[in-house]
Amino acid sequence: MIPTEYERLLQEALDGEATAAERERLAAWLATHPEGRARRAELQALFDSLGRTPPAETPSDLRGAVLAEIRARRTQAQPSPRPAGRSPIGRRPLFAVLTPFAMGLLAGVLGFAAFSGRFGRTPSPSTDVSGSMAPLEQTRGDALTLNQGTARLEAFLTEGEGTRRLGLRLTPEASVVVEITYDPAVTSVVALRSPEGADASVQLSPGLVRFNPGTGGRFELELKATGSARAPLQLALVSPGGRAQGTLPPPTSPRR
Amino acid sequence: MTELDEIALVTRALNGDEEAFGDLVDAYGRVIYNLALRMVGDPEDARDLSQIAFVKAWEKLSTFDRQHRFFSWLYRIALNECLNFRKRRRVHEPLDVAMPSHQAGPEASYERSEESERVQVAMMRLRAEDREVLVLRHFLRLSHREMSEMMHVPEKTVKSRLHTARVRLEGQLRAQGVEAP
Repeated sequence: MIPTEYERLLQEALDGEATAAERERLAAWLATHPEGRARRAELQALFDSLGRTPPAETPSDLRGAVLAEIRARRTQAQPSPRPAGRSPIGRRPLFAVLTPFAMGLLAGVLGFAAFSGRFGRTPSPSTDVSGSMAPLEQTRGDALTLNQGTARLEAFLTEGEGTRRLGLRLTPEASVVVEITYDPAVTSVVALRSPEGADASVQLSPGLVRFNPGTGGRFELELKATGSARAPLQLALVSPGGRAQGTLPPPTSPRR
Repeated sequence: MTELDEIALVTRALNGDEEAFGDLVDAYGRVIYNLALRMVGDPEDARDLSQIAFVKAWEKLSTFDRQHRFFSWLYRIALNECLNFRKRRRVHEPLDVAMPSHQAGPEASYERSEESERVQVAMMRLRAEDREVLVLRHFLRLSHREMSEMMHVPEKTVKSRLHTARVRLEGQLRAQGVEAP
């Protein structure tokens, strides 16, 4: 059995990190301890073995892949100017095929589910978001769909009397995460409601709500406007394979 | 790459210069890829994780504290990606290992490849913190001081972790039926 002190000293010497004094002390000990010399030989073999495993070459397309991803995200984050008279929905693939009737239906479904308490499950105890909801005069905003791998996020924003509600419908894949970025200067989080049985883990930090939607379903994030400015929300669907993101602007068309 | 070169590239990247960031990918891609490969064991996953780490670094570049080395910051992003990946996958079995080929003759190359694979399999059975110190020391060839800076722990802790990790690695190699490597 090698004393721990000398085991560590042996390793430091083989690492080339022992001081001259330490090397001398080790040499003196090794001279009188054959078991120490045997241990040194074992460690040397281990170091040699690790040292013979050479570094792998970088994938040849890493730079190109990184820059392509960066450019794609930039493009996604900065939508091109909308042609006059064209529906904002028209440039989003999923909704391109939906008629205004279908859009109304989707809004109705989300709104009904939200107001009837179907999203009424409070967040997990690890989060500090809570609150209750009451029907309110609302303004309907844009819808947004994000696809990342097989995961899909459909989002819809309503707004009224200082409160904003973000309805989310999620078809998740393993380990997908939803990120909602807001301007903490003008917005605060009141509640995140997840469907019964969805084991959503939530992380909150100023300006960011991040949650794993578990088995998916319909979620609702309730936000409160703390200032007069109305800022857009940034949504992202993140999986190990990449990230899809987009922006939900504040609603602009009052519904009375 | 010198620290000044690094600062210049980071500054250009902060101003939106993608090609400057591409130069940082060129400079550190090999180290980050090797870190990912040793941490997750699979070349394809390692490639994806390297890409994710660089893209995250680009997106968070404005939060980078220029009092520190860019590489230390990038390394931490990449390591976190690897650790999260392992947690998500909950991989307990060693994954496919594709070690680079060698320039020696076929027989020596085969033996070395076998040896590399044994080491990698044993590494994958270690805890992440053990694997991390071994990767930094033996594959990225960092000194104890550099490791201390990278890991934000005292050098004494680095030495202690290395000691423990090597003993555990030996245990894993023995469990494979490999006497002293």
